[in-house]
Amino acid sequence: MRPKRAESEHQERRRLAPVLLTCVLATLAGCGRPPSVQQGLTVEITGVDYNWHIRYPGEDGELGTPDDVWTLRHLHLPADTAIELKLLSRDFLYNFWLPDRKVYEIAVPDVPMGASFDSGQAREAELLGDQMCGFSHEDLIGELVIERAEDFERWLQAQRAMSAAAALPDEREGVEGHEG
Amino acid sequence: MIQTNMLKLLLLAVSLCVVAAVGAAEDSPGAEQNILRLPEDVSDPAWVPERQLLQQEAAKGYEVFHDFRFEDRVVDSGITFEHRIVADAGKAYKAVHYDHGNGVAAADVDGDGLTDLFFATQLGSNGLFRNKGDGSFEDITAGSGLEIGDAVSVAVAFGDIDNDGDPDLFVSTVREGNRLFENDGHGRFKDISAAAGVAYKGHSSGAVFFDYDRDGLLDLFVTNVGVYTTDEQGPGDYWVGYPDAFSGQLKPERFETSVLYHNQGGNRFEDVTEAMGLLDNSWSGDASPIDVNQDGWPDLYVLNMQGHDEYYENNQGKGFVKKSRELFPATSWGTMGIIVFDYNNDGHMDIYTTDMHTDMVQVLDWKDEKNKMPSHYPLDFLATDGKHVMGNALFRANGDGTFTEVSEDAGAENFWPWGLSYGDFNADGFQDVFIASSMNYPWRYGVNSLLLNEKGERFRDAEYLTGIEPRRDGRTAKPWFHLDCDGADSEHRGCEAWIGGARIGTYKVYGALGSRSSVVLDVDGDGDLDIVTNEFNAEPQVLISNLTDRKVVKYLTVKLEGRGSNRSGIGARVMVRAGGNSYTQVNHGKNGYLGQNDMPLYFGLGDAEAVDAVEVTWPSGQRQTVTGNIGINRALIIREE
Repeated sequence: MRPKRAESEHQERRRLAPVLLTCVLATLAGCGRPPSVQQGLTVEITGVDYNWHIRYPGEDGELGTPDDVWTLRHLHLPADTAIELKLLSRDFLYNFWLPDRKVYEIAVPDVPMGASFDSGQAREAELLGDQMCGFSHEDLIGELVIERAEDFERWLQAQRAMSAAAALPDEREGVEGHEG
Repeated sequence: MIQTNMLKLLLLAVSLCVVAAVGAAEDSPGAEQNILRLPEDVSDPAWVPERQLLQQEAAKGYEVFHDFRFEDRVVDSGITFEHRIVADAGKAYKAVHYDHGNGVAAADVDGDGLTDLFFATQLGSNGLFRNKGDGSFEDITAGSGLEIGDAVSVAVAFGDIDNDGDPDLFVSTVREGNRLFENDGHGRFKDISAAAGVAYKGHSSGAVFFDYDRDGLLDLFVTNVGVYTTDEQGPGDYWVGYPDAFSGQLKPERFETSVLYHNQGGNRFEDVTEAMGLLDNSWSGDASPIDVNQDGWPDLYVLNMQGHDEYYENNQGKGFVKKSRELFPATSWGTMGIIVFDYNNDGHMDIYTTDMHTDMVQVLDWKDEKNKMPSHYPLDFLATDGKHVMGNALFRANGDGTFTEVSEDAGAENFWPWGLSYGDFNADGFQDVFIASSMNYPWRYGVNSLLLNEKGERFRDAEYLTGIEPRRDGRTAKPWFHLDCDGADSEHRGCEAWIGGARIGTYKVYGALGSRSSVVLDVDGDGDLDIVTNEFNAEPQVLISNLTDRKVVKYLTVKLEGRGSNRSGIGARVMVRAGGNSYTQVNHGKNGYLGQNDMPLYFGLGDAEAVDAVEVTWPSGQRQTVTGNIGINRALIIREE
């Protein structure tokens, strides 16, 4: 049986417990502040035409505004952050898997799905996907890149130049920098 | 483990989409045509020899008799029917409910004492074939009144609705109106759908004749899957499916309630779904009656291909009460087929269901096919409590109205199953099972399963031992569709994804063979049971057994004629006592996916030298026992007293 989400969160807490304990002891010893789970980040991922369109909130911190940043295929996340994924589809059903985070979800048109998890330490892992009960496509397989917060911010800013091109076709017009 | 499996799945899925095998012209009408096999080994799976060998090795430990074989004689059978698919299952492939295929059913339509066959298809005409008695058939579709060329058919159910002694026929269709045909007794049928009040238009599937109120007239339950099509029509005027059809369980606006009709007499039916409290919105492809509480009133087990199955207890013909989770706390999530039979000869009816949709979670290696699926869809997609049997379910009756799920211990699992049929293929007194399986294009080949019942304790895999596999001439694939990347199909996804984006050339694309439904009968009248399948996008298999050449077969067939009960005795319980054993069947006709038969019951008798008694409990409540010189290897007709 696949672990249920509650179980995976429990396992995650168990995994993090020694780390947190070490950090608490380190703090008490006056040798530095413990790493904290950053303020949460919500990311929207939409499958359409065998592609993942990934939408991040811009500087206003809200999704669905013109300063959103769009990318394709590869999911970047800041480390040690509470992540909420919103998963959608515009056509088929798509499997969306982040095995490293024990996320095994399905993107469904008109029915938002999602997953919540802590991103954990910086590392790279797999983002796997395919059309459910159908074909796969290389553009549905990417990378999960978890990086230091400052690296993530740098990466996100760099994506702005290509954001309009990566947006869902019917969202491009509203994206900052869109040139028509 | 889970990651490894998912990686395997991804690698396999990806392999479907890359260039498979592009070769020179091969058995193609046009010399310029190339061959695309999806996946690459679909027409020559490398695992077949090893799998065959392993089964032969395992059989050394079998205690069940398996020294007999089936041979596919469709070529000589006179059955020229060929199932044809809609484009959604081929060139315009998408995951949609058309892949569930069609039924086949058996009945003596012309009163000559021989069991005839009716096949349903998606495109083209359904087929009616008259049994000539020598193992061959004659196509009598033309002029029979059963040509349905204007609709995608789904299920076929024979039932004598007017008690005139001949089987009438119900055919469900996709959005073109269900059809009810009255038989004139000579195999000629009249469409009485509209007058009968059963011409429902929707996404209908399985049809079940049963007499729920025991008034002597067969009532009808029609399962509706749910709205899985758009308003767009494709080649052949079929209704094109939604690209997200398999998320229907999450979308109440797509629910489609199944329908219960009460037979009013005079060939008229009344929709009593609401009045009888049988409002079932399952994504249901089929159902079966079963008298769980043994009160004489047929209850109903309704399959759900996208959720929990449902069970409705019959309150003495006055209504149905849902008691699903009380009796069946965990069912399969993606149930397709059902048989209700007594596999361990304890006199109680057990339930065996097949689960296709759980097997779509990931593609298993063939060596893992007997294992349950290790993972499931996410809970928010299941839209249930998540408590499911992770594959086929075998509910063994405890005798007190409750069940124990024993599929793993009993060896009832297989892979990519559709419908199933039971029959005592080796005539040892225990019911065996045939499971029509395989997903077809664009997946790898999947084998049909023949499970031989070892003393009512477990099922033994025997498809390779008995000639069910490999198929005739070792075939595992056939041309599925053609792609003209130079012309009409230049925008087809395959022209880019499969051949490197060149978008040139014409291609013959192969898909795997696969069965959907089956009927078990003695085709050639030699005293053993044969199997006829309805395939997906191919001609049937007519699997003739040589059992009578391999052992001394002892059997009895029982045909019922109701008087106070419905004429066919549908719902009657028949117990044969022979050689110190008893063998029980219920004459419900539901012995195959998307089909209902009207034909005699076959009892294998093991080593018994004589039949001591045959006890019948009729739907009317009448109990009748036949004793005396019954004999064996004969057809017994029992008329209700």
